[in-house]
Amino acid sequence: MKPLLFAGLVGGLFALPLVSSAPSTSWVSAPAQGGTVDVGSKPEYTFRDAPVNSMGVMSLEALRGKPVLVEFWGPN
Amino acid sequence: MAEKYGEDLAIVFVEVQGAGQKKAEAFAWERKWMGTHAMWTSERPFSTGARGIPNYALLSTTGEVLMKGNPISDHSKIEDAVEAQIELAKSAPEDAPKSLGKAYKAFAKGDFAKAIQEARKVHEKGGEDAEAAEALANQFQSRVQERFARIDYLLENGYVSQALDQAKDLAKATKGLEDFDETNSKLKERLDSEDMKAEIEAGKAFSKLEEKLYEDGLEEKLVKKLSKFVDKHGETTVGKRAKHILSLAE
Repeated sequence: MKPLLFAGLVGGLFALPLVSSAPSTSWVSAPAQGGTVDVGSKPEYTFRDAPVNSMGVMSLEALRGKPVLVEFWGPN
Repeated sequence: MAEKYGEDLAIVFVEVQGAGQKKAEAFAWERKWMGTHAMWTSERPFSTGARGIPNYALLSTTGEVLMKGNPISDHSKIEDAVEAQIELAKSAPEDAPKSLGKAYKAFAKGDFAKAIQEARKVHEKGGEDAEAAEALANQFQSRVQERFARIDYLLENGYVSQALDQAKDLAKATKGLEDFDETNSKLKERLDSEDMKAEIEAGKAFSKLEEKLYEDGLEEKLVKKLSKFVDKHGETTVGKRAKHILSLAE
C-alpha cells in the first residue's frame, strides 16, 4: 500500500481528492486467525500479544463501549 | 481520524502482508505514526473478505460489524458512522430500561463509582428492571476490573508514566465505592514501594524522550539519546521498552 495513502488514514487526511479515488494496489498475504466477517456479525478475538500502543488491551471485546475501526494494511 | 476522534474511537491497524510485528512497527515509527492512540498488530483477528489493501471493518460500540470495505472510498461514510457511534456511547442502548439511564451516563463520563451505585439502586428497588440492573452493575464492575488489570500490564511492560496516570484516574473514578478500596490501596502500596523508585525515575526521564520520538520518529539524534537512556536505565522495564524501540532503528 502507498505510504501517502496510509499517512492519510492515520492523520485523518484521506478525504483529500488526490487520494480518495486511489485504488488498492497491494494484496493481503497473511492468513486471518479468525474467519471472514459480515455486516451484523460480532467478531471475537483474543490477541496472543497485546497490540503495540494498546496499553494492555488483549481482545476486541475489551474495546466494546466505543466504536472500533479495524484497518488492514501492509508496508509493501 | 486517530487525531480527530482521540480516545472516543479505537483504531487497530493490522499488518496483513506477513511483514511481521517488528518490521511493521519500525515502518510506523519511521513515518512518525506512533504518536496517536491507534494500536498496531500483525495478528489478523478476522478477514473482511477483501483481497486488496487497505480494507477495513467498523465495529459498533457493542462489537457488531457496521460496515466494511475500502477506507479511502468510504471515508465520509466511516466518519458519519463513527460520529453516530460516539453519540450512542454517551447514552444507554435503545433497548435498555429507562431506569438505567443515569448509570449508563455516569459510566460513559468515567464516573465508575456512581455508575455502579446507580445500577445497584435500581436493583435494590426490585421490580421489572431489577435483573437488568444487577447484570449491568456486574458488567460495569468487570470493566473496571479490566482497567485495573491493564495497569499491571503497563507496569510490567515499561509504560510506567501511563500506569501512574491511569492509577490516579481510576482511584478518582472509583472513589466512594468499597468494591475497589482494597485494589486501590494495594496498587498505591505497589506504586509507593522502594522497588518502583527506579522505574518511576526511568518513566519520568523517558516521557520527554518518548514525546520527541513520536514527533520526529527514529531520527539519528534521538536514537543516540535513546541509546544513552538504555545504558542508564536498561535494567528497568522502561529501559527494556526503550531497548526494543532502539532495536527497531537498527
